[in-house]
Amino acid sequence: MEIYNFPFRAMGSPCEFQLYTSDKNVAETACKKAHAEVTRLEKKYSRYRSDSVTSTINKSSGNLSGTKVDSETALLIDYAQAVYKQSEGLFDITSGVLRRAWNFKSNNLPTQSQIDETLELVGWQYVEWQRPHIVLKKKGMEIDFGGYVKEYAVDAAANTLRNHGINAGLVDLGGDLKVLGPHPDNKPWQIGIRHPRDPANAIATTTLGQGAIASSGDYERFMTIDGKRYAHILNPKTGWPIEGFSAVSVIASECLIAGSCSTVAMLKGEQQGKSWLDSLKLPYISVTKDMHVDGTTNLD
Amino acid sequence: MSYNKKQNISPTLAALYSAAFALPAYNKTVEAAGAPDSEPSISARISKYDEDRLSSSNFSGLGDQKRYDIEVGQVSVVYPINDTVQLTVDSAYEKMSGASPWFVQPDAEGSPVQVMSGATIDDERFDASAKLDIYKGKYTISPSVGFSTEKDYQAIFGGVSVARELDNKSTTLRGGISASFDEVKPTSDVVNDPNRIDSDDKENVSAFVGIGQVINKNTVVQSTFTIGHLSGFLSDPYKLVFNSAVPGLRDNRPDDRTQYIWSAQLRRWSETLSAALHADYRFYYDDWNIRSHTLDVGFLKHTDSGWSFEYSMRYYSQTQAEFYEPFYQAARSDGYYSSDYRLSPYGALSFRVKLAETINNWTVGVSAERYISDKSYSLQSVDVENPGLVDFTLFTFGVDYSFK
Repeated sequence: MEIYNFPFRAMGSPCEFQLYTSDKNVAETACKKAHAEVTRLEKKYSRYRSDSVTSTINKSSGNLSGTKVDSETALLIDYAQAVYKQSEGLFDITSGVLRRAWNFKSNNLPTQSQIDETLELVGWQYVEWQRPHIVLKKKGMEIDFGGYVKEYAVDAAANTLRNHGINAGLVDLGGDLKVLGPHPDNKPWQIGIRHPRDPANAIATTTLGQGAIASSGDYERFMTIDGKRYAHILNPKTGWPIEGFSAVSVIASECLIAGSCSTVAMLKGEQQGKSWLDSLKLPYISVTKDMHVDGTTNLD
Repeated sequence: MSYNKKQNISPTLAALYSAAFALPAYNKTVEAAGAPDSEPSISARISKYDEDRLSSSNFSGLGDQKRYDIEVGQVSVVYPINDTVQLTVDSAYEKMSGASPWFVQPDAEGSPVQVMSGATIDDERFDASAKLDIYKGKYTISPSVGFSTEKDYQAIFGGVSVARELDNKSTTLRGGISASFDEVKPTSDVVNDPNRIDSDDKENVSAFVGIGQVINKNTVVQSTFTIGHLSGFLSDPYKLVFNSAVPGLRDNRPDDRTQYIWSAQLRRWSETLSAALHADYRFYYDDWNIRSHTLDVGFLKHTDSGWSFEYSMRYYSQTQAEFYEPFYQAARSDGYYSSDYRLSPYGALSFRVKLAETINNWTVGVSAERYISDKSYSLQSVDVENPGLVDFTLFTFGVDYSFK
C-alpha cells in the first residue's frame, strides 16, 4: 500500500485527498471523480456565479411565485431548515445579506441603521418553502449555501472515493475533513486544530480513525477596532458579530453534521454553546477568546 | 470513539441526521426517494434463456425433448422531462423456439412421464410499457401503461402507484393498483387439436400497500402486501391431462384465482466489507391452495479495480394446487384438472453472478444464472415429482449509457 496525494484548490481553500492504494490508476480515477464532485457542488452553489442555483434562487427574490429547485437542492434546503429549527433560529441561510452592512476589509463599523436595514431582509420566516418551490418573499433577500456546502462536499467526495473501493485515506477541504479509514497499520490520523490567532499552526492535535471533523472560528475574516475583534460570524437576530468562543471543532460521523454543530455552537456563545455541545454528546474541542483549549476528546 | 458507539442520540442530533441522510451523498443502499435522475439514460440488454433438454428418464418418447430457448432483446430509456416529471419507457422483443410439455401419462411401471408437443414451436413476443414519475412535494405519483403481443396472446395493462414520504423522510409509504386485460387465441400449429378453444380472455386486477423504513444510513427495510384477483380463462389451452377413467380431458382450471403476497426486503451496507447485502423474503398464497416461500440473498461489491461484482442465490418452495395431479385415475366432481408442472409441488434453487464495469458514461455488464428445480428441494416431502420440472441457464449482456 502506498500513499497517494491529490492536492487541489476549491471553495476558496487549499484541499487535498490522501489515500492508500495498491493501484495508482484506481487512486487517480477515484480522485478525479471525487474532485469532479467537489467542483460540481462548488459551481452549483457558488454565490459568485450568475448561473448557479444560488443565484437563480436569489434573482427570484420578491417574486411570489418563487423558483423551482432540483431534488438535491431541495434536500439541502430541508437540511438548512432542520438546523434552523434545532438552533432556535441562529443558523439561518438568509443571513448572508448582512455582508452588505459588514465590510471586514474597511476597518469601519457599520452604523446601527445600516445593520437594521439589512436585518429587514434576514429571516427564514420570510421564506416560503414548499418543495420544489422556494419563495423569497422580500425583494433583495438572499439565501446562501456557503455555511454548509463545503462540509457536504467533504462527505460527497468521501462517498465517491469509497464507491471506488478506497477504504483508507482522508478528504480535506480547507480544514474540514473526513477520514475514510485509518492508516494501513490501523493507526488513526493525527489532526491539527488550527490556532485561532496563528492559523498556520496547530493549537492542539487530536487523532481520528474514522469519522469527520469540522471547525468554525473567528479567524477567517475579521477586523479589530479599538482592540475589539469583530469576526465574520454574524448573529442573524442582532446583525452583530458573535462573541464567545474563538473556535469550535466538532467530531461526528459525517462532516456536514460536524460543521453545522460547530457553527451553531459558535453562534450560541460560550456558555450556551458548551451546554448545547454537551447535550449532543459529540466529541468537540473549543478554544475560548483567551486561547484556553477545552474539549471532550483526546487532545495532545 | 463515542460517536460511533450505540448511545442515546440527542433529539437535536437525530433531527440533523435524519435531514442529512436524505441527501444523495449518504445514499449507498437506496436511491434518494423523490429524486428524479437528472440526466437521461439508455440501457440495452440481450439475454439467452435455455431450458435443459427433458431428461430421458422423464420422457415418454412422444414429441421432442428439446425444450424452450428464448432470445431476448430489451431497451429501456429514462428521460427526465423537467425537474418534477420523469418518463421511463421499456420495450422487449423475444424470439422463442422449442417444444413444450403437453401432458403427463403413466409409463409401464405407473410412473409419470412427460409427453411433449411434437412440432417445434416458434413464436415472437413484443412488449412495451411507459411510466411517468411525477414528483409533487412529498408525493411521487407514477401512472403506467403497456401492452404485450404475440401470435396467440394479446395483453394491455395499466396502473398507478403513489409513494409518500413521511415528515421524517426516513419512512416512505407506497400503494397502488393495476389491471391487465388479456386475450388468448391459440394457434393450431403446435399439435393438431380440434377441441382447443378459439379464443377467450382473462382479467387481472391487483392492489398493494407497502412501507419502507430507513433504519440508519446503512440499513433499509421494506414490506409490501399485495392482493390480486384473476378471472376468466385461466387454463392452459395447449395442455391436456391424462385420465384413465375419462379420456380426452383438457387442462381445466377454475375461472377465479385470488392471490395474496407478503414480502419483506432488507438492504444493508456493510462498512467493513464495503459491500451491499440484501435479503428478500416472499410468502405467496392463493385460493387454489398453492403456498410458496421465496428467499433471495445477495451480495454486491465494488472492487478496488473499478469492477462491481454481485452474487446472489434464491430458494423457492411451493405446494401444489388442490386439483393438480400428474395424471388422474378418476373423474373429479369439480371438473378441474391440470398436470402443469407449475402447479405441482416442488422446490428450486438458483444462483446468479454479475460483473459490471463503469467507464465514464458507460456501464457494461454480464450476468449468468443457473436455475434447477426438484421435488427434493421442496419444504414438504413430495411423493411424486412432475416429470416436466424445468432447469434453465440464463446469460445476459447489457450496456448502459448515461448522458452526463
